[in-house]
Amino acid sequence: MIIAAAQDTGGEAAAGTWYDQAKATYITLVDDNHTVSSLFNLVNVPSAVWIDERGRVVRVDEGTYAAKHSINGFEFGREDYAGIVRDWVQRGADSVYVRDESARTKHLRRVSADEALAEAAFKLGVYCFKTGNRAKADQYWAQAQRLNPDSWNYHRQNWTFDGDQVAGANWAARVQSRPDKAYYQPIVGLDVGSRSR
Amino acid sequence: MDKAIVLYNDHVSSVSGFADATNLWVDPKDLPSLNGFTLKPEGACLDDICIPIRDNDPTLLTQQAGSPRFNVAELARRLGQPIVVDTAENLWSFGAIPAVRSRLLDDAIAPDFTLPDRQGHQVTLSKYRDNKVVIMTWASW
Repeated sequence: MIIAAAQDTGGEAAAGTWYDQAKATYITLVDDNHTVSSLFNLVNVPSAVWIDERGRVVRVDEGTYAAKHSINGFEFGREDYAGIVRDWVQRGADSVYVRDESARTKHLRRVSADEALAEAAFKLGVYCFKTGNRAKADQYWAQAQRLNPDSWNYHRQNWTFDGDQVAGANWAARVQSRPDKAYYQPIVGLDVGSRSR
Repeated sequence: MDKAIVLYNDHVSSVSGFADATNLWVDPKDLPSLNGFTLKPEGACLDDICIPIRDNDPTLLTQQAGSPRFNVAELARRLGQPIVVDTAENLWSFGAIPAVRSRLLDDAIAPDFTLPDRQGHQVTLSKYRDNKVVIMTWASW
């Protein structure tokens, strides 16, 4: 079962056309409040959460592209991610990509008090945006960005309402200004380390 | 009594209450719709979480014009719940309750959610128990 969750405060108007172009055959959600990111402590998209038949998180918080991408020399994504998902679907708990429980919980992001406050500020911004108060939305989104500077979601969601050019320029500048910060967490067993069971 | 807008757990509630910069007093009957809590003899409770109210603690309970009022902001502080307030608009955004949020870190059980799909059908994660599920977040931006 695949559930796609668009983290798009712009709602169906922003996300729908992408789903249409993808001819999505899976469950398609438009998560305008970034609920899924909040619940699993995710700070960037795309991010995947694998959940087994017992409702347990198997893998989480991975930058999950189906191919390599390069933007202005900044590279991300990998070619084999779909294959490792298939391996888990076929082999279940015997897949080499399944992590033991302690490794799973260790990989989950811990949310600091500031980051938890950032989330409340971000959602207040979403409410202001949806009720037509863009100035206040920007105010609370800026607060969220200050409190949780590692959240690309808070930054990029905000920038998108200033147009593609501004968003693109802001994104490139921020990526370049944070060379010591991973854009995505390394994918355990692929980008770093090996099987951790 | 003023109208306050309360945001919690992706629900937006409009509630009558009175507020200052740090306190929001509401009718206790409104608590379940605001944050799921109910008042019981043992305190303000949600599932296995109970915040005791001792001796009609005036920081949590008061009377206004003969009607009981409960301080939902004080409850949040006792729960360690973050609050962002827009006092000009009387908007209150309550963050996740730490004791609820930490469950994911304790046992790696996926927290449940219900969100509408593009057709407006409600999709609840827990309905897919007994299946492998891959959730993919993405965005148009």
